[in-house]
Amino acid sequence: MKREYPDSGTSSSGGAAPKGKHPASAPPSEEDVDELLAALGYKVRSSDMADVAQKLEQLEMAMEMGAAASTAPVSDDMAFFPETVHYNPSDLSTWLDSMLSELNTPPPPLPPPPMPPPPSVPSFAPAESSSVNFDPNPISQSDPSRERKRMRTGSGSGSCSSSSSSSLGRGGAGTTTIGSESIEPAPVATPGLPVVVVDPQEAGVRLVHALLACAEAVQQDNLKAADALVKQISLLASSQGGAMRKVATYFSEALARRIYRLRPPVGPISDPSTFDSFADLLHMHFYETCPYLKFAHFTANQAILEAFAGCKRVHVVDFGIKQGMQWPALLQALALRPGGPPSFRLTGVGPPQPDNSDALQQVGLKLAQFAHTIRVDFKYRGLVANSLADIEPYMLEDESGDGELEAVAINSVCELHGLLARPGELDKVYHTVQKVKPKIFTVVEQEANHNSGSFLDRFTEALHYYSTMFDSLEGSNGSPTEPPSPGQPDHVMSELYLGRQIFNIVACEGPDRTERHETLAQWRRRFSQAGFDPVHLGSNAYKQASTLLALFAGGDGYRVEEKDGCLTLGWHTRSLIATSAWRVMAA
Amino acid sequence: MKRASSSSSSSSSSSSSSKKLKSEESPSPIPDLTEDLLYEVLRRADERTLGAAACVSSRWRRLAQDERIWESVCLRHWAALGCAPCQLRSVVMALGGFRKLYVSYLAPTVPTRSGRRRRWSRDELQMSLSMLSVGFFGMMGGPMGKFPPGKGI
Repeated sequence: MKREYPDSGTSSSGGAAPKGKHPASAPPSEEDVDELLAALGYKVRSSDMADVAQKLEQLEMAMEMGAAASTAPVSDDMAFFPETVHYNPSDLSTWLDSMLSELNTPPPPLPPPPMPPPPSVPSFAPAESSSVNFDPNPISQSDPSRERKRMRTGSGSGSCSSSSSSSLGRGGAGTTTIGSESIEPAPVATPGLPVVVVDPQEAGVRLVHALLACAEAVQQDNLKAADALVKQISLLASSQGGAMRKVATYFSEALARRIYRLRPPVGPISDPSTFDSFADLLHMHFYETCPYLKFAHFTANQAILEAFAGCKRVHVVDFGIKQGMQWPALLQALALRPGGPPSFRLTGVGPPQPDNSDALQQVGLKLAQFAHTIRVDFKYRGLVANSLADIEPYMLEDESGDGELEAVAINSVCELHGLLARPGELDKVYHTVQKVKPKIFTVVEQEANHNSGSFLDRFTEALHYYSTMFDSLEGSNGSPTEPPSPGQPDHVMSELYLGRQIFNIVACEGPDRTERHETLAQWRRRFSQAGFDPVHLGSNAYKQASTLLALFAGGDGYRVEEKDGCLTLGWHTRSLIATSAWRVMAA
Repeated sequence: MKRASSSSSSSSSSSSSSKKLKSEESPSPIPDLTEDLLYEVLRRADERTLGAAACVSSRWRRLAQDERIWESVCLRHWAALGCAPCQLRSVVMALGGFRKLYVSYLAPTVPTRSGRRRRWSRDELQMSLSMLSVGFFGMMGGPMGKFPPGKGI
């Protein structure tokens, strides 16, 4: 045996090297054994390599100590194990376990690992935190065989639980929710540090199940179960990497807020509709890092440009002007119009500022300066309104009365869904728009149904939608016009931008829940019932969108689709944002 | 270098290139062309040559970065835009210039090793102009884009 031991020792350390590559080259066996050791006749699962190595070391130490202690000659090690039944040594892990137990080297007891409450687990990667500020460098834990962290789920496991293939069945009650592959009492290198061993794929599935189960518990008002599940979710989420972890963290945070009734007050962090400088910043970063808002702006602009063909005086009403990022491109396109630019008037609508600063005026000044630079005649009016329903037609009237009628375009980018939170507001807005009689009413909205009556349905929909969104953020490299930074800080901002929407959808109710997205089909119905006809976005808009993606999206997964005259942008097969255009039905 | 249409410039360029060949021991001097000639030559060069030429000396750099040259670089490849060239010129110059337009927004569309010049489509052109506008707007009022810094327009 001693002769075999160094062999297996070296080969196990040799076998440790191709650990990472092994799965690709493994013969298709259920046990997924290590090749090199298998050649020697030992069956060891490649995922168990690290603890097999550890146990071998322990065995060696134990035998050395034993050899030093006893006076018997060392030649025959069999003397140490007089009554041992040697189990199948080819199953190396089990055999080592039995050896170790024979030598009476009880593993030092691990600290009892209860389900640690999420905020206080120190050993998890620093990115794991239930606060809103996320570490911009997520630690990728995708290869479990490399980062072997283990958790003892119960002190009763004993020394006979082994890490052979059927460990899942034998795991015991505590492990099934974690989905760990090997539970065993082998001592950890640094005892006292609770760690987690999970198979990320399996944990991913369990994570989604846990999220949905928690949402269901919340819907049934079973807050205790929901609370327990939230903690599990955080645990599972830490085993994932990248987009999945971020999404899970945001959703579990949102669920926690809902459970503990931490209704976010109407304030900067949680309320996505607050137009303050922080929200501006997030919005700006989201604009820069992914093509959704650019797509929205450029397609809407194209529709407006075409609607304004031949008009000498034009008026654009922007239902949510924010930073005014949409309008420089339109102004430039109008400036290059054959025949010269029209007189341009812009009305920008925005919410009142918490700090009484006049952000609307500042945006107007900046746009005016821009228009002056490219020699477009420009006028601006800012409208402060808490809700779009407060706008009356007279506020949008042309006061100069030059004689020539102005052509009006109304533009709304992700502003209409908020109106669904209070009954009657959307109808009021429709009514106002009808009075104004615009040439075109461009509407951009998220393509998802986050407004169904059932909380669970909303939650499930939102989970899929935002998972896809986060995937796309992960997959794209950002615009090539940006400096080649690692891009992480920008992504964090964009993620937070989306995270606030998640908080609102999951944690808020009633008038606070303003992120009431609806699908294109639903909006179509509303518009038709309100007396609007669709305007088909032309092929130019489609080509512009395709060009945008080709030039600036950076990721291959984006797709532009045309649906009955509307354009949608999505990631792979899922549409995420839709642009449509409408005009008042001819009486 | 492309052959210029005027024979004097071609003869001077060939004589300067033969001068270059002769004096291989000492580092070859920069061809001593007058500004007009240099401009004429560079006006017909392609983008990569212009980039290389801008690295030769400060005088060459100034000429290679001349907006008129870059305007012709951009217009050379465009299909009809539909507006008058002077209209385009005034807008683009106001928003940062043709060289910026090319470098920031058109060059990324060209595959790096393509020797063949391609024509940009109208949409690519319009997209690049839109991005130029957005970029200019974003940079107004200093690097943070906060506007106005307190002064009048």
